[in-house]
Amino acid sequence: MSNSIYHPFLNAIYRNTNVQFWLLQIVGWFGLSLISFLSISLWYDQNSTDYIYHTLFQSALGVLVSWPLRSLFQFFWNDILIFRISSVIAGIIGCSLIWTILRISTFYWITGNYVWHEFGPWLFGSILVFVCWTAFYHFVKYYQLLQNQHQTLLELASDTQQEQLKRSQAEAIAHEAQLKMLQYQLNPHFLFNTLNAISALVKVKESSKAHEMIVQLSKFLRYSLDNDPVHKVSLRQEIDAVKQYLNIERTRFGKRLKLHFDVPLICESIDVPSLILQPLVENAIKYGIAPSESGGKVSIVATTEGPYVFIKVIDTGPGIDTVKSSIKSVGIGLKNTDERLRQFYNDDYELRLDNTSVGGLCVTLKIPSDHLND
Amino acid sequence: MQKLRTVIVDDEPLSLDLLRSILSEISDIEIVGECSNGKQAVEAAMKLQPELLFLDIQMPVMNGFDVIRSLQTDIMPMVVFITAFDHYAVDAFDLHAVDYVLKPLDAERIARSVDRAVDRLKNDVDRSFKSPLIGAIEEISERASKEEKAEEPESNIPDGMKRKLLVRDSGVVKVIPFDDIDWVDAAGDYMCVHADGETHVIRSTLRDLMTKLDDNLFVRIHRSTIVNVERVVSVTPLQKGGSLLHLTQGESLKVSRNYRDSIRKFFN
Repeated sequence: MSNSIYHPFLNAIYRNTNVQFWLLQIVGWFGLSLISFLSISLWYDQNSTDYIYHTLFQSALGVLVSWPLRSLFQFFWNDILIFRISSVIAGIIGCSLIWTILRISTFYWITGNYVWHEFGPWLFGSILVFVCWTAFYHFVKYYQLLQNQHQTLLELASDTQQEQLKRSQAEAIAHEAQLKMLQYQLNPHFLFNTLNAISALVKVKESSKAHEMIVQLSKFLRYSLDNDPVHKVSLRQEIDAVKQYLNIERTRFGKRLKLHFDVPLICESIDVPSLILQPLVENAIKYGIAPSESGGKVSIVATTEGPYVFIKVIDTGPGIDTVKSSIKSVGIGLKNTDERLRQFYNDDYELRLDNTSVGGLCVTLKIPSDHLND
Repeated sequence: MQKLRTVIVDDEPLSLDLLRSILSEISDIEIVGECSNGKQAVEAAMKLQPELLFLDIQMPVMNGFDVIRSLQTDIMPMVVFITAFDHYAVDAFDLHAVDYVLKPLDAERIARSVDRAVDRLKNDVDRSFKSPLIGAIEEISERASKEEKAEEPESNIPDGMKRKLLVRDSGVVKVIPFDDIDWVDAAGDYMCVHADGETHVIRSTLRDLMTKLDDNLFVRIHRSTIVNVERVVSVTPLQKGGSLLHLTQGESLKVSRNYRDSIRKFFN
């Protein structure tokens, strides 16, 4: 609530219309008794305690008599205008009559003065009081209504604002994912090192090897640029792209990089998010192979199990610290992969990191094995 | 003019081929050694004492920067770094006037580096090559560690730490007992403290450090090198009066002729 700046007590009053009603009732009626004491009792020099008692008593009666008026007005509040006006007039007249009778009888009872013959003027005063009461009641009621409308409008505005914020945040995340994907595709370190290697092959007149590497690089880049990360491709296409990449790396690293693929034919037609394996393979090279002087092996193994396919990227590097082997702690690449998988499969997937028995890292991707042309 | 004795270092065989091929066409260069990792590079620099080192930065286990840190200031050759992509490094190199070439290697650019090296060798009598290199490397590691964690952790080091040295490594303060120090060399405003197979870089002068370190344990063996005598396992005399100290960790250090007496004192 926007009015939380008030004191808690004021806050309660602000929120609860019942409390407001009774507070105004008491203040209004006893304010009236103060005014009638100051104007009438003092004027007629009626300053004995009896008159003061009566003034207070008639205010208390006023509180009681006007009480049903509230229910009456509320009952006809949404009714057609003619009923509302009739109910208001009837209410005012009814209450004025009752209050006047009660006032005159109690006046006689408390002060001993008989004033029934002055019923007319007393009634006139009562009607004025109840007209004022009714006017004030409606004024407060409409004021509250206006306030509520204002509040609702404000809330609505802030809701739409929040909605917009959420939408732009979601867009930002999607853009970020795409940007990261692009960075992977055009990793400058990889690109410049590869160009350097090609340049070396040309320089030492290994033209067919240079040619092969240029073709591989082109295929890899084309695959990266042609495929929108929001689309799916067959596992075969994905593996082929990864192979281009790994073959380039093998030319660069020489004997230090060994490759192993085990993707059964049945898995090849399964569709996967495009470029989903690229970051995993790149990580395997970066953390599993590049830091070791003797190099190592990168394996890609796919198996099916029930409605799922398991794709594993295994390296022979140092593995990871099991204490912090959650997805979130191992770099932007895997977090990005996790985000992308969630976009595609909601919670129907698994991305797991395990150290292999020989000490390397095995990243397992478990996704539903949807086939392209099913 | 005499050819520059050059060692080339790169872990990628093709890249090494390219470098060799380009340098072989430059008449000022004589390639005396080729290495495919950092450890080989340190050994080659010690054994062959080249004048110029072409050094790839990204290498497994011991990268180009580690090689520089662990080389004795007094035998530090001129260094041209090779990198594929690393804008921190390139900025820092520019700042400290350290020479570098980018991959893919370009014959013209390498020729310019060689020219520069020839010039420096003629004019730089000091041969203080390590100082700008260490400056650049410190700059890079500082920027990298700033990126990793914005705030430096509070260090709680008790007072009265005698016979111990405080070093700051990427935001963490480490305590190194004097007894753990193998050797120290000065590179301008920086001191490279070699202890337990690691190299820590601190800002200090050799004179300051010498007053802190124990005279009975540490002895000066070169203009900018002091060694922990307890680490010395053998001494090989060299021609022209110098000698080579072999340490327990497998490193070798050169003792200059001017300081041979101080060493002799300990081994007699």
